[in-house]
Amino acid sequence: MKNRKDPHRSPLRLQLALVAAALSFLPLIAACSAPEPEASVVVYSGRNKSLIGPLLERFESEKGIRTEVRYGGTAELAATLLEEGTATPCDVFIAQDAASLGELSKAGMLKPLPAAVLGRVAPAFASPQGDWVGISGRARVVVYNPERIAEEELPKSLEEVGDPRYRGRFGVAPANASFQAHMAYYRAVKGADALAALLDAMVANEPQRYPKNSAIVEAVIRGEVDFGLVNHYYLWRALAEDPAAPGRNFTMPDPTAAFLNLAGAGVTSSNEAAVQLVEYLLADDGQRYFAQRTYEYPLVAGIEPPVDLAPLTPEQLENQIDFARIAEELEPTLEAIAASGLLQ
Amino acid sequence: MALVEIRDLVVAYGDHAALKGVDLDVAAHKLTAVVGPSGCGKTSLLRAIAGFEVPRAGTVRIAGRPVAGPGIWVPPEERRVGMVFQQGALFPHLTVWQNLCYGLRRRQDVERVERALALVGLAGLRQRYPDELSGGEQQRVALARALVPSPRLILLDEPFASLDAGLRQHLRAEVRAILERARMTAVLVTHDQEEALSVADEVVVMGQGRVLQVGSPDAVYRHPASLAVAAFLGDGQLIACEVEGHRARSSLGTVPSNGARPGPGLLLVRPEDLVLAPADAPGGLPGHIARRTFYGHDLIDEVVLDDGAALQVRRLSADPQPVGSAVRVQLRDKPFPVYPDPQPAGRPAVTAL
Amino acid sequence: MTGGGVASIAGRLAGRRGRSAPPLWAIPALATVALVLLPLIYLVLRAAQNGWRAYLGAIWTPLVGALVLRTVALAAGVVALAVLLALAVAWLVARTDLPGRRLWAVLGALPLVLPSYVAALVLVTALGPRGHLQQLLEPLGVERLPALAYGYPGALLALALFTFPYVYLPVLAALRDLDPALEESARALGAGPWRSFFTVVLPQLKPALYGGGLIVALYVFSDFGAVSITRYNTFTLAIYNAYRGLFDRTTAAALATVLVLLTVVLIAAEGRLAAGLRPSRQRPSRPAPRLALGAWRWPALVLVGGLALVTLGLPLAVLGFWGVRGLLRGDAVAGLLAAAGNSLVAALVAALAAVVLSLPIAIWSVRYRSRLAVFVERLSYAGFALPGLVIALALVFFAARRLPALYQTLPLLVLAYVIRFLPEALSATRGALAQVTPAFEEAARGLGRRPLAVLRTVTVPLVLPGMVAGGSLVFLTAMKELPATLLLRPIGFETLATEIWSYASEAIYGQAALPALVLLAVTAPPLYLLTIRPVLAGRNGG
Repeated sequence: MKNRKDPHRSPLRLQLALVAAALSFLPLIAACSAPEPEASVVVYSGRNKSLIGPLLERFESEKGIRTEVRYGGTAELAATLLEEGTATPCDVFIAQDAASLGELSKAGMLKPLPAAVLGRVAPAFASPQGDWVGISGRARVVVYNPERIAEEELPKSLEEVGDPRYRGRFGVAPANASFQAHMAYYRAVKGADALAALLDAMVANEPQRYPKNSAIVEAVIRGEVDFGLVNHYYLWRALAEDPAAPGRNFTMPDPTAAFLNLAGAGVTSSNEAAVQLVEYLLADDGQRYFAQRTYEYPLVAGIEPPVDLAPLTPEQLENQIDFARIAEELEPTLEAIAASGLLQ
Repeated sequence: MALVEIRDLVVAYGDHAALKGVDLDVAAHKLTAVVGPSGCGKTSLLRAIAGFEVPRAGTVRIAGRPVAGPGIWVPPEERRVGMVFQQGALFPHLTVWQNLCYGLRRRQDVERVERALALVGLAGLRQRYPDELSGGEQQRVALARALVPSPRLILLDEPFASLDAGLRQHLRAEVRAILERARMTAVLVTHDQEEALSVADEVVVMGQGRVLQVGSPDAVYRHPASLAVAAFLGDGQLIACEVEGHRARSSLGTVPSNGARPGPGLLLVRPEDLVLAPADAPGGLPGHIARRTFYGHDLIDEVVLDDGAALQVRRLSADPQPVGSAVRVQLRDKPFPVYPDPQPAGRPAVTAL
Repeated sequence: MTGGGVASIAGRLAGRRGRSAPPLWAIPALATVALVLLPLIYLVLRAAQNGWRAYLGAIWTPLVGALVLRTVALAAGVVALAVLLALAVAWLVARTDLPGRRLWAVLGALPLVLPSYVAALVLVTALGPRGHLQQLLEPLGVERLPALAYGYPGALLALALFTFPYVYLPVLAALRDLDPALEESARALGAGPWRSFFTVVLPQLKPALYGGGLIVALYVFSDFGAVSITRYNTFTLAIYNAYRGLFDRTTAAALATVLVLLTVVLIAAEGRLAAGLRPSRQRPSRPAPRLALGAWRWPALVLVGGLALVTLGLPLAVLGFWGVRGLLRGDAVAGLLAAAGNSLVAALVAALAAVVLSLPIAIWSVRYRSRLAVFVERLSYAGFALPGLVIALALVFFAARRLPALYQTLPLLVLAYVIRFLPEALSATRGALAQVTPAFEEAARGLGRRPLAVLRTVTVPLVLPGMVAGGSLVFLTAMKELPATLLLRPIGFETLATEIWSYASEAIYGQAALPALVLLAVTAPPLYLLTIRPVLAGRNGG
C-alpha cells in the first residue's frame, strides 16, 4: 500500500466525516421532534404500562404536566439508575417492590420527600430515611381451587405447607421477586435456620414450580395444582377475564405467612413536578385507582380496599418490618433458596 | 477371459435413459478405454460397474459373480472395484498416508501402502495434505489409494481431464506403466480420443447410450464400424464414391469396396492416407497448398483442388513444399473403409469429418 | 451465513501473509472494535471496584462452580442437539428424495424468527405438565405430562429447537458444496454408507458445524428469555438475579467476567479445532445423487414434519389462539403499527451499521492477516455471548456520564445492537471476502484504481451477497432483542419486542400475541429472501 501522502485518504476522510455527520444528526432529530413543554416529568416505571399508564394519563390531564415514561423491570431500572448516577434523566422511580427503593436510598440516589407526602401512609409503609413512600400493597396469600380443596383444609401457616398431605398439590414461583421477598421477610423474623428448614420441608413436599405468580393462578384454575403461594391480586385479574373461574384467595392466619409487600415511589431529581406526581399517586383518587383497577391494597387510611378483598389484618399492619432489612436479607435468602434445590 | 461381463444394461435417470441396453466384456489385465462424446453414457457405464448407479435392467458380473441384476445388488464397498475420479477426490482432511490407509482392511497390511506409494513414486510425500500436492501428484496418489485394497479392477473417470496438456501426456504414460506393473485390469473413461487411442489395449466407442464399436485402437481407428465412430475418432474427410461390385470409384481413384453395398457410398480418408505428388506427376487430382498448420514433427496442409474442394493432408515436416505450390493429391495404396451414403442427394465430392 | 471457523480457514487460504500492513483499514476497524469492547471495559471497572480480593471472593464460590457446570452442560446439550437436528434435516433435504424437500429446507431455517422468550413461553404453555398437549390427551386418561418443559430438558428443547438453524444453514451450504466423488471414493475403498459418512462427509462438514455450533453456544450463554421461563439456572440468570434480587453490580459484573472467560475459552477452542481443518476446495463435479428413501421416507417425514410442527406450527397456533381470543375481547391493536415501524427502523439501521462496520475488520484480518486483527475480531464475539442487560448497563454507564447528548437516543440503541450482533455480520463478511481472490483487487489496482475505488467497484460488489446475508441475520436478531431495547430506547419508543414484553410480563397473552405475530410476519420474508434462498440456490459458497 501507499505512503501517508496517498491521495485516497481524502475521500476516506470525507466519507468518515459524512458518516459522523449522519450519526450526529440522529440525536438532533430526536431532540427536535420532542419540544419541551412547560412542565414535564420523566418516570422510570417498574410497574407495567397496563397497570399504571391510565393513572399517569389522568395526572397529565389534571395537572397539565407531561409524563415521559420508561417502562422496564423494576430491578433492571434500579440498576440503570445506579449506573446513571447523578446524570440520570429520571425524576420519579416507581418500583414494584420496596427492596429496590431501599437499595437506591442506600446509594443516596433518592431525594427526601416532604413530610406531608410521607404522612399519607403509616410509618411502616415509608422509608425510615423519608426518601421513598409506598403507594400500594400486595399481600401474600394462598390461591386455591374450591373444586379441589376446601378452605378448612388449607394450610394455616407457611410451615404447614410442608405437611405430607399437601405433597405435590401446591405451586410456588421460587424465582419470582415476590416469593423471594417473602422468604427474606421470613428470615428476618424467624432466622436463617428456620428459613432453611422451611425451604427443605417445601422441597421435600414436591411443589410444582412456576415462573411467576400469574402462572400459578392459571395452574390453580386449570386444576394443575390445588393451591399456590401468590400475591393476592393475580386472582382478581384472572377473575376479571373469566368471572366463573374456580379460584379463591385465602389469607393464612399466621402473621409471617401474611406478608404485605409494597409498591412504592421515590424522587431522583429536584424537579418539583416529580413531587407532585408522588403526591398524586397518594391522593385519594390515585389510591382508589389502585384499589379498583389493579386490585391492590390502598395504603392511605380511609380508602376502601377492592370489593370482596379482606381488609388488612392488624398483624399485617403492625408486623411490617423495615424494608431496608428485607433488602439485606435478600442475598442470604437467595442463596438459601438456591441451596435448598427449590429452583431446580 | 472377461473380468467384467455386462449384458443388456439399462441405466436411466427419470425419463432419460443414459444406457440403452449395453453389452460389453472387459478383458482381464488389460486397459480398456471407453470413449465417446459427452452425454454418450460412458460415465454411467463406469458408475454402474462401480455400483454407484442401480441399473433399471440388465446384469453386471465381476469375475463371474453377479453384482447387479434382477434381484441382485451388491453395494460399491463390497465389489472390490477401485475408482479414480476426475480430480482425484482425495480426502482433504487426511494426509497422503492416511488417504492410502483408508482402504486397508487390516492394520498389518501397511506394507501394501508402502508398495503402492513406491509404485507411484511418491514415497517422500506421505505426510503432505492433498492441498499441498500438484495436480499430477494428486492423481498419482488417487491411483495408489485405489490400488491399496488390491481391487479386482480399477475404474478411472476422466483422470487426466483437469491437468494441463504436457502433464497429461506424461501422466498417461506413467499410469499405464503403473497399471501394467500391477497387472491390473482397468477401465478408463475419457472424451479425449487421442487419450483413448494412445493409452488403451482395447477401445470401446460409445454414442447415445449404446456401444458402437469395440476393438484395438488400431482397428477402431483404421476401420470404424460406422460413420459415427469414424466421425468421433480422428480427423479426415469423406469422399463421395460409387460402389460397383468389389470396387468403389471416386474422383481420387478406385479402391476395393470391402464388401459395401452397391450404390452411392462414402470413402473414409484420413489426412495421413493422402500423399502430395509434384504437379507434373501422373494420377491424382490437381490443386495447390492453400494453408498449413505446423505441429513440429508433422504438419497438416489444406489442399484446395482445382474444382474448389478442400482436403486435409498430414505429412512429416521433413519434406517441405512451400505453401502455394501446385501439387497433385493421390490416395495411398491401402484398403479404405467404405460406408453406404445415408444422404446421397446433393452430396459434394468431399465432406469434412 | 458462516461461522468463524469457516471464515478463519478461508481466510488462511485467501489471505496474504507478508503484505506490509497499511493501517488504512486498521483505523475504522480499531474504532469499531473499541466500541465493541466497551462492555468488557465496563465489566472490568465494575468487577474491580471493590478490589481484587472482593472480586476473587465473588467468583471463587461453589455457586459459580455450579453455574459454570450448569451453563456448560446446557450449552453442550443444546449444541449437540442442534447439530443432530441440523445434520439430519440438511442431509434429508440435500441428499435424499424426501417428498417436499424444498419446503422442508425452508421451514428448517424459519425457527430463527422466534424470540427465545416467545418460544419458551409457547413450549411451556403447550408441553407443560397440564398444558395444551395434556388437555388434548386428557380424554385418553393422561392426567399430567412429565415436567419436560421445565428445567434442563425444557431449556434444552427451547434453545435447541430454535437455534439449530444457526448450524443447519451452514451445514446445508457445505453439503451442497461437497463433491460427491469424495463419498464415492470412500465407498469404492470398501467403506459402507455409515463409515463413509462419518470418516469423509462429517469431517468436511466440520467447519460449518464448528462455526454454527460456536454461534449456538454463545447464544445459549447470552440467553435470558428461555432459561428464565423454563427455570434453568445459568450464568445469565444468575447475573440477572444478582441485579434483581441483590442490586449487586459488583457480583453481577464479576459473574459476567467469568462468562467472558468461558467465551474466550470457547472461541479459542473453536479456533484451535477449526485451524486443524482442511476443507475441500473442490467444487462438486456434478450434483450429488439423491438417496431413494423408500419406506424410510415415512419416519423422515415424521421427523421434519414434527420439527416444523413444534418449531413453527405450535407457536403459530398458540399465538394465533391467544391473538384471536384477545381480538374477540376487543384488545387494542393501536400502537402496533408504530411499534412495528420503530422496530423496523432500529433493526434496519443496526443491520446496515453492523455490515458497514464489519467490512474494515474483515479486510484487515482477511487480507492482511494481522495477528492483532484476528485477535481483535475474535474478541468482538464477547458481545454476542454477554447477556443483553450487561451490554445495556455498560452503555448506560458510559453514555449517561460521558455522552449525555447520545443517551437514550436511537443511535445509542443502534450501537447496542451493533455491539451485540456484530459477529453475525462479521463472520458472513469474512467468509464472503475470503472466497474472493485478491487477484481481482490487484487487477483493479493494475487498471489504475485507487484502493477506495477498488473497494467500491470490485470488493463490495463481490462480497455483497455475503454481507447482505449477515445483515439480514443482524436485522432479525435486533428485531427480537429485548433487554438492551428496554433500557436504551428513547423514552416512549415502543418496539414489537417491548410490546410483547409489556403484556407477556403481566400474563396478558392476548395482547402479547399480536405484536409477536407481527414480528414473525416482518422478519420471516427477509430471512427467506436474503439468507435461506441463497443457500438453497447454492449461491452462498459456505
